[in-house]
Amino acid sequence: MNPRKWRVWHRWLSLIVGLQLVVWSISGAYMVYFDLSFIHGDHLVKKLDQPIAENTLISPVSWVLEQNPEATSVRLMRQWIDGSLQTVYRVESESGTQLLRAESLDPIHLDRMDIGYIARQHYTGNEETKAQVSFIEDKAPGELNSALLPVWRVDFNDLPSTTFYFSAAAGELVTKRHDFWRMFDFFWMLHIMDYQDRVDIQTWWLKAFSIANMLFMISGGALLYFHYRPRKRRRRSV
Amino acid sequence: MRFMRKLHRWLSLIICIQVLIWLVSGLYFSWVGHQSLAAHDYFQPVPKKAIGSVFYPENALTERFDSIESLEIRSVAGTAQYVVTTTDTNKHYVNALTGEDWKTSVPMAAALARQSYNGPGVVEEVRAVTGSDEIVGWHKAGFKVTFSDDIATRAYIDAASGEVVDHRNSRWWLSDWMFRLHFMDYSGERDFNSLLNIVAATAALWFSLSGLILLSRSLKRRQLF
Repeated sequence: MNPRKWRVWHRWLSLIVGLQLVVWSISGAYMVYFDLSFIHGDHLVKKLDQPIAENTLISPVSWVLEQNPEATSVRLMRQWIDGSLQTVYRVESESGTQLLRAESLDPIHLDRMDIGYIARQHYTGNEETKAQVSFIEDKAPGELNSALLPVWRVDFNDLPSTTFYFSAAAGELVTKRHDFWRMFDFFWMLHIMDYQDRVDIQTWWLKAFSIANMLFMISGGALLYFHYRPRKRRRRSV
Repeated sequence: MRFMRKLHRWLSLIICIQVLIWLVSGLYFSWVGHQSLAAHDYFQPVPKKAIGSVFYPENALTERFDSIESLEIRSVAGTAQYVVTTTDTNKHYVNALTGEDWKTSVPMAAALARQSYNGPGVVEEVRAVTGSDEIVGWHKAGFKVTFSDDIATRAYIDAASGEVVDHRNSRWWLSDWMFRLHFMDYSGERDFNSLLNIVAATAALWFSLSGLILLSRSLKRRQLF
């Protein structure tokens, strides 16, 4: 094949499969430019590290286990209840998770006010920022793993549209999202070419485009060869 | 346009090998899929069990450790275990029957490995190790439990906690190198925000964009035939 033919091939391939290479380079560049911990929103939450006071009155673990023989995990921890930091037991079993007051072992039900308060304690942004609290029982939004349901959703009215998700039973921060994460997720979708669920990396068209782009690269390589090959005749402009 | 052509050609010389590497490794990821890439072909999370009896009281622990952030009790291989997290984010593991620091025995390591495994093999060997070249960031004492299956699955168990660190198998080496090449992080830490990668991504971005500009020019001039 002569150089002209290669060039026509290169143009056709660029039109049919090369455009995906542009998509890959833009989406890849976004993922490379922004630090992954920033994308994860680690800067949006404070680390809470007040220890459990030594003189806290609590019922012994054995009582919790007597009450809940099926429990697979019992955790003594702290949580904001009614606006103050309290020591609680978090009891996990196959049937679900529950919070108990550490002293009386009475069950605790977190409400909208509690979650709003807990969210404020985690949030590193401006204290005046408005926020909405909503409860999600089934239908998880696309940005949330549905295995985490049910959850409380807290949307902050700030610039990157920060959203915190808290577990319904224990009020634990399970996920945080902001617009840079959402953009990352959008680019990830473009990168793996799964426009539906954004998880499947094994589609036939992803493989097909990868292989076709290798051929596209070869056609470009041929053009490079024709440009730089040693010539017997004196150089003339092509 | 002459400049665009020149830019496209020069960038192609610099970046074409890496673009080819991205395409080949990307194709490999697509071929193999998430589960095998993580060496989780025969992996399952260890099933959670009811805690069972506890003899060592929690108030002994609150006296033993300062600045406790949380205190968990759970079952590890049929024995109750305390996990004490202190505010410096350190974790301490205590046997809830005896009150001694948690120890993982060889039979226990084998049992834990089996619970994390759903393949056709049986445990072939349990070896004490300290960290592993195959697992970045884990340098502690533990066990390597090897299974007799087609891909030589091995489960790594952390001795201090009795946790299954992860699985590895004979395909791991190739998958890991594909990640190193795709992310341009040859240390194995899979950090794709390195300066090297930023420079390469920028070059690739301008390589493809200059190509796009040249293509639109060709389309306008009807130079497709």
